[in-house]
Amino acid sequence: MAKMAKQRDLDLSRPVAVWKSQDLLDDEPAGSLTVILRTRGCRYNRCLMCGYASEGAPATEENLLAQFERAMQKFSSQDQMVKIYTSGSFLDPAEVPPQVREKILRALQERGVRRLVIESRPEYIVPSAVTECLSNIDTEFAIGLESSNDLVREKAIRKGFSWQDFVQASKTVHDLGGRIKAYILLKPPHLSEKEAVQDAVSSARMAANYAEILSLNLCNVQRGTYVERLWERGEFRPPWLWSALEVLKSAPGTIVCDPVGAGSRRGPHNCGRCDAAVADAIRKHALSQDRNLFEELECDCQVTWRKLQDLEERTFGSPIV
Amino acid sequence: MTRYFEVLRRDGPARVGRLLLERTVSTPDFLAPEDYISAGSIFSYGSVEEALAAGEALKGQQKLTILPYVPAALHYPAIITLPDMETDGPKGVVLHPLSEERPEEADVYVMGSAGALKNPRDLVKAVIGCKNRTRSDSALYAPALATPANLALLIYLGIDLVDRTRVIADAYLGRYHTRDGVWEVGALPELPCRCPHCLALDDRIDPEKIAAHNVLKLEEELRIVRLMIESGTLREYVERQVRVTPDQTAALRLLDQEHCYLEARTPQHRSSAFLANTAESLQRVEVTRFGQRVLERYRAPNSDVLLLLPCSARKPYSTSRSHRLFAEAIGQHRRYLHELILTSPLALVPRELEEVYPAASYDVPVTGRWDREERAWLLDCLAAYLKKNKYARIVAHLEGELEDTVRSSGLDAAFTGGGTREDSLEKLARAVREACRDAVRLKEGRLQRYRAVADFYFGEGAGDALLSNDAHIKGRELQNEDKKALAMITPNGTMALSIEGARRLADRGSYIVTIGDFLPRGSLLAPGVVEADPQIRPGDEVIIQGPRAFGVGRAKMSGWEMVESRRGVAADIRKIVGKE
Repeated sequence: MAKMAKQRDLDLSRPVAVWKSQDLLDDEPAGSLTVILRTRGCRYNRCLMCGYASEGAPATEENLLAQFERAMQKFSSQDQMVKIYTSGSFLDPAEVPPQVREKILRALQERGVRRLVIESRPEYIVPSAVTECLSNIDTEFAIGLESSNDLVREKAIRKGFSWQDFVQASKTVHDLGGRIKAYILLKPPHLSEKEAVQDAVSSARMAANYAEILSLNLCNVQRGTYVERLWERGEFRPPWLWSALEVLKSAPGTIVCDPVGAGSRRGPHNCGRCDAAVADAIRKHALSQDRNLFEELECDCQVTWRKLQDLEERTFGSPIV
Repeated sequence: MTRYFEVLRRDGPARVGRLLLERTVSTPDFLAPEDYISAGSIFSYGSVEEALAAGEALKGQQKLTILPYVPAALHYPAIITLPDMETDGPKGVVLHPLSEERPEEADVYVMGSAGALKNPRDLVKAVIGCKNRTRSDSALYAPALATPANLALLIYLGIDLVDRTRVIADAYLGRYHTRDGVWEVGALPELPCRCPHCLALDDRIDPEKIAAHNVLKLEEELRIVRLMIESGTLREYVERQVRVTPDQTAALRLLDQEHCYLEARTPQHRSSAFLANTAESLQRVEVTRFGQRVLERYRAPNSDVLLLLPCSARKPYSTSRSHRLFAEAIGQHRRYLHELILTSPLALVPRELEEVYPAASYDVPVTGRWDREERAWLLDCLAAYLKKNKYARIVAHLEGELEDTVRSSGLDAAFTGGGTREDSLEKLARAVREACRDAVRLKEGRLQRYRAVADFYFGEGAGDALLSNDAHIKGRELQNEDKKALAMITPNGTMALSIEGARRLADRGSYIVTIGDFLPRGSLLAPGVVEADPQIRPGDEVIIQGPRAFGVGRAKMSGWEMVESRRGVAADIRKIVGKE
């Protein structure tokens, strides 16, 4: 959906971003390095909420390797986990050519990284690519399932793949001994707050059978997207953080969430007074899986959040903003 | 299919109606949550089939059954189109408000995503679009949109049903509503309302109490709006009320540009006063329609002399002090000249039409100043009028800016300077005397009035048809050569035809309602109408014709609506006779 970024100022030898953080690794917090490579971008590129395509640029193999080398300068031995994302699919050979992929995998293996996390659409999760990854390093394959409901995924998100495609990809990975991470989206456009929560809750429940870990993505308003145009006209409101807690509390098994943009108008938000505390609890929960963190949270706006959910069932399409 | 909605009264696009659910909803009204049952959005189901099955499962309801819907993105086409579905009770269908597709039949149409119609262009386009692609005997519901400030505009646009959703939600978002707008409740130095909910509000902001206040204000406003419709003054009220925000004022102006939509719904006559208080008043259908009819339907009597006069505050003009003084000054010359009154916003009122709506009942703030729009409208009309109606001599008894305006057009006339002082009237008398020298004496004034009024209501030539063969005046009646009544000008300025009068006009083919093979009594119901002249408007005198009946009556709805509707009174019958 989004336009390609202006290319003139881009240095193709630099990755989009690199940062160090903490992540859950087999139920324990561990150091992690996240690398976002600037590739040609997602080939599908039609999801209604996604603005990442604006980061795409025609990077060559040399560019990609240079980006990776530069990113790895930040690597240290505490980083047991490395996440390499592309704002698209790491396993799409048009984004990351096989030779580049191979060099990256080998380099990570050589540095003794315990786990690699990559993201890919299911159509690129084929046995050969999965085997290649797993023969080098314990890999977690993250898939943007978004919703277990085909109608929602196809018509409200326009994701372009089915539940069966996800199940098949999961099977491929599990048969070869890999791990699956499933992203669940809270809340796609055109779903009311309540519908979105219900959809995410049931999606988490269903996806948990096919994934080792779930990641809840709170829909934020990215530039140049369909969602942004709806939001500008009052036709979309990002989810409440209270809604995120509902989903996190009900999910079976491990579920993490990084509330990107929490508290801002474009990001998931509550009333403004409690946003920081709730977002902080969500981040802590991602590392500890301790649901008690949520019990202490309280704000007057919970009443508003509940009331507006009921009222929103009577608007026949528009959110209450 | 059973029908559950009936329109009882109309005032422009605004309507008073009756929706038969478990309770009878008298529209305009709130559609309460307990009035309907909704299958909900397709996105609350796993598949379209599942959603349709849920819609199917709602059969057997007395409540309004709102079928499964596809949420609308206002500026994008519908995401999916669902197949038509049947219900066995009152049926509600959610519309994409800015799509152009004709929806399936329903009793109530719900404007999808109406709560997001904040832009005045979108709002006007959405309502007119929804009305144009649905039948007029269905109700239109705009959810989550109404506030005390915008309610009058929404109803005036043509929405029949609203709800309390928006003002309740706003209370929880700290927004405090009155008819004069919305405030952040925390920023109010004191509450401008003395309702029990506000009196009970202490320092703590309690959303429940604010919601109760907001709802009360909305309910009060609904009552006001209903009163305004009842008294025929909704337009005047809306012109005032839209001043609350520029967006609302813009919406009214945009609506006024949708002349066809408004004209097709504007009644021929109202018993209320017509107040032209604002710039928008000049754009009213009643004004343009009157102006158009004077120029197109009306023909001036063959008079050598035209006398231009100013309007008076009192209506009809003849009953005012100034016009009585003018009449005295003119004296016996009155039979030798034709009088045309110049005014705002109606521009030109021939003397014979001074009792016609809205000439007999308008009021306008008089300052003696004529603004640019008023001048342009007046001079355009006058130029067109004089192109059609020729006079040998013109006397202009006008004063101040009005005289300047007319002079500036280069009109060749004897300007007297106007006024009602003794010397002014003396000037008028002298000018008239001078102008009427050798002038031809006109036909009797009252006959001219009948001719003009008939032309005004039924089209050019109707007057001649009605007045043929020695028609004459007796009392307030026009009679034929056998002293049988032909027509009467009623005290409110409309024309009532007798059967005889109708026979004289029927051959012209206009203002005719053709009905089926039956003889109606009292009221003519819409289903009985086979065909109707599309120019018929509520309040028009109509001729009713069918294989077994001939009669006259008053239209209760527009001609296009008579044809389209399956419920409601099309016309009140005054007199009807059977045919062999």
